[in-house]
Amino acid sequence: MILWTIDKIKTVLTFSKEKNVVSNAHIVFKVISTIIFFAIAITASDLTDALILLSYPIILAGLTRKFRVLFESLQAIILPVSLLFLLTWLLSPEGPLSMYTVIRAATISLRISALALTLLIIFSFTNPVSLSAFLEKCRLPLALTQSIILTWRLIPLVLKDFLEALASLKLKKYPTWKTLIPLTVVSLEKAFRISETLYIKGFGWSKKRTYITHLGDVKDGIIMLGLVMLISLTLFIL
Amino acid sequence: MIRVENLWFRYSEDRKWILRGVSFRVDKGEFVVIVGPNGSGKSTLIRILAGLVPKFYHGEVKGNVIVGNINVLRKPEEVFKVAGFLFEDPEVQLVTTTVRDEVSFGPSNLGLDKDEIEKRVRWALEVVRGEILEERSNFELSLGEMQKVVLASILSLKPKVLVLDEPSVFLEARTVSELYTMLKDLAVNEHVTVLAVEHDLDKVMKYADKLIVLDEGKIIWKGKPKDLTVGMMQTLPMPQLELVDLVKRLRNTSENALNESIVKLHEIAGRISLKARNLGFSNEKKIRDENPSDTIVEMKDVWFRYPRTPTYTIRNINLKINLGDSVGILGPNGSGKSTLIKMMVGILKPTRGLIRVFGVEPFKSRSRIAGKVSYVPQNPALTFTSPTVFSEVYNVARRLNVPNASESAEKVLKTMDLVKYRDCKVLKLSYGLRRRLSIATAVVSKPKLLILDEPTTYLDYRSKRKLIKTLERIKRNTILIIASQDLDPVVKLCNKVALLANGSIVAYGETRKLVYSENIKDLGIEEPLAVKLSKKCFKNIKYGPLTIEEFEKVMAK
Repeated sequence: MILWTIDKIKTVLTFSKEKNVVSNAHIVFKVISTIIFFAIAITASDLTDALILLSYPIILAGLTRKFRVLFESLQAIILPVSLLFLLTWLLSPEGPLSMYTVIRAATISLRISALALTLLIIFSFTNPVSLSAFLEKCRLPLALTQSIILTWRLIPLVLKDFLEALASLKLKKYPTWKTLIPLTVVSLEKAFRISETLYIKGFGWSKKRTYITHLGDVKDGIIMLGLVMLISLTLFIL
Repeated sequence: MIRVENLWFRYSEDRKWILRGVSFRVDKGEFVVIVGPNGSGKSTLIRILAGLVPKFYHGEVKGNVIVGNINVLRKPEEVFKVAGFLFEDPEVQLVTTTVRDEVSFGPSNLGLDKDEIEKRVRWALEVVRGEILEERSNFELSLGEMQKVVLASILSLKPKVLVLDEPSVFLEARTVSELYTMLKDLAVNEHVTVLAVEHDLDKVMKYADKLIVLDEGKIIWKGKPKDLTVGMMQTLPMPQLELVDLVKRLRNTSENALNESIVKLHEIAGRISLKARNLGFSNEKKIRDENPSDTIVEMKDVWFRYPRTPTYTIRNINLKINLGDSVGILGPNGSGKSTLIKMMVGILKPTRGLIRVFGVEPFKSRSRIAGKVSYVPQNPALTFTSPTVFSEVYNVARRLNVPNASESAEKVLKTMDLVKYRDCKVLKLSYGLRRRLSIATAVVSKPKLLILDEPTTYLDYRSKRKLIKTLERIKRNTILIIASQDLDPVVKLCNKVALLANGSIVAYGETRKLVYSENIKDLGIEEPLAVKLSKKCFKNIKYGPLTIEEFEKVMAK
């Protein structure tokens, strides 16, 4: 089950270069709409609110014209969200037999699912270079903006190594946690080689970098932002 | 273009000098190759040239190193303006997510204007013949394509010098030859100076203008390849060529071969011409009744697609591996070899179809095949959990309930020639030793099936022979499945071969039959030397020697 979940997480955290409204959206609108969505997700308090929130990642998946993305993201979060539901339900002070407990556990799990699905879909369809370019314009330090690009690049690589190490060690009847030993070593070795690569490609030599990647399309950005505003409004009215 | 004068270096934690008075120069547009055994100081030299010392590798350095017009020891951070560096593993040299961003990364760091960057991206991709890759994501690339993109990302910095550290390690013969042809063109047409470290001299010899042989931190020979004789090859501590080994063995048939230049090796071998005759080899297939209980691995209509990729990596594979078979899975980069064996050990789940290993589906029931099946991944460090060599093997033996775990561990260390490294720290081992340790941990429980992914990567000819000999011993009690683009271990260890291309098995059968078929060449896999020579020597040959030992026997007849 762990191997399956890690494999699914790796899938959804792999950058996809397909062109659609979500990938084309201007990065500024993408960032703002995500922040607003987070804010309204925090304020959502009942089951109806949580269900309305859940409509956002579903529509986003529709905009990508790939419902498979939604399915893959669901697979990636199903285990942690189920655990969250179970723990919130079973450990509730009101006891597991109370209806209130079930509804509260469901609300929390759905809210987290909506947030996680939204983030995963946006992560898949965002070129980190455009995000770095935007953050650099906001005068954030170069090291921070570039580490965002490396995050996008490295996560799938680390998860790939994790899967391989886990399978190899399981064949030797090692417990799962032991995988962390070779994984840490290999990841550190990889990180070291990547920092060498950055250095020999002149990274950090100059404070100014030129970006040829566009920040995105304003029209598509407005669509994403408009959607979030619509969901906020619905929640506010209800 | 490169001037190294009396260079000395030792790492801060080591008292021994790694480089001892190294001096050489490389002129504009020259193609120079550095060779030497493991631990000779090649990689350290490259790190110093790249300006990685002392920022990344601390130590004491003396001497003078000039690359272009940059004094590397004084201004290491400026070397990137004149020199580009390409290392062996392309995956960790890609730092962004798309090809276009990758190739523009270097010029962007220089703060050039957008038009200039766009121009450089187009030019660099054109030079590496990778224009069609521009719109691709880095996650979709095969290793060969990755190496092309890395090279383009370095070329976009317009370097006057290119320094390469074993760039061919992960690539198949055809891609290696393409890469070196590209580099030679750059040296000739664009006057770029190329300095390469390569353990497989055969791959690079015909492109080199000059060879430098390094041993124990000293240059022990430098000159043109044509001045290096077969006899010198045997006395100098450098990666040996299989052809040299053969010529040495056949000294009687090839007079004065020892005084011949190594560039004439193929010519010398060509002199050994014989008339067509029955060589005594045949298609070794033994027809026997198939017993279902003999089936160890069974694949039925297996398809696999990596997520976020448009095409299937594995397409409709049907394969049965029976008791008594040892199978080599051969194919070029991106053909699906590693994917196929990762499905056999349960790392990946087939998108469609069924895989059974010892009657169970590995992805679902890995615990049921634990102990019976062992797997050695491409990166051996992924299997290490203990601090020292002995504890690593001992702990695996203990986990798998091997009787007399300690004794068994000692025995395996002896088999794998690791006794003298018994108490060494695992992470201090070289790649070749890590590979041997990884195999030691895999065989300590005497598994019935041992699956190896590219076992000879990074190994020079001598280390490869040593490893193959060890695997020959292991093979007596264990079924081997080897995924490789190197034919050497496959012809020596496997009685069956599956040829993979674009995710499908294009041929499956007896090794001798398939290695002598045209499929091998079509896939861009380099034929073993014995096959090449046999085809040259014996007309209309159908089946012949696979190894130089067999070839030698034929010649002795």
